[in-house]
Amino acid sequence: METVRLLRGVAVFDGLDEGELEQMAEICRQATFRRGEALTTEGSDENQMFVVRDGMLEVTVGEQGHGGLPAHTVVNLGSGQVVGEMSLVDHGPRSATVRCVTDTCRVLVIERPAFESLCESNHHIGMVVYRNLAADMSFKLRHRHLARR
Amino acid sequence: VICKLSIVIPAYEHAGAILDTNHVPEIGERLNLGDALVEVIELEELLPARGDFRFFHATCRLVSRNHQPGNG
Repeated sequence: METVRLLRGVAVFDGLDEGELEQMAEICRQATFRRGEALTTEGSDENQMFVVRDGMLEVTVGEQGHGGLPAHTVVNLGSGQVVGEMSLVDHGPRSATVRCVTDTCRVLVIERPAFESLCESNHHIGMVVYRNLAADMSFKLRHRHLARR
Repeated sequence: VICKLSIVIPAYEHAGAILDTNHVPEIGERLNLGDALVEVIELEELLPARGDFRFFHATCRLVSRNHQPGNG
């Protein structure tokens, strides 16, 4: 029930009813990261999406020499945000390294195979969550544009 | 209501942040970004509300760096 309550407060799951939130909660597991620990590493082939419960994450690109750019932080993500959603959608390698920058950061972890299986079995969940993921990526782009003004 | 905030800190070497709050922030309110404590100086609604969610952009000024209160 706690996971359902958490999911209800995350924009990516807005529009799901109680039963659908319960189905989503069943494929979530909880994890805790400590300061400096990496959730993802740029270029790796992991396939999870993370939902931040608390703490703060730093998203950095260029650490692994991809793209020939110097390493730099592109955004910090706090409670209610999702990270790792790009590889959930496009199946590509990680585009950034993501680290915990607070003492701890608690997240929900959703594996791509379980997520895709759930979306196949309940198309309403798939439609709602993929639409919300698109909106979330759009919001991140808007933030990026505003940060560069 | 849940507010998704896009936060930028002009004139400070910081990438900014995105986080949720359970209220609409006020001008002068302080926000913890993990490595920095910032104060809201401007707030604008970025997108139309959707369900229980509202979407804001906050311009902030730095109050202190290396703010480490634990779980942000």
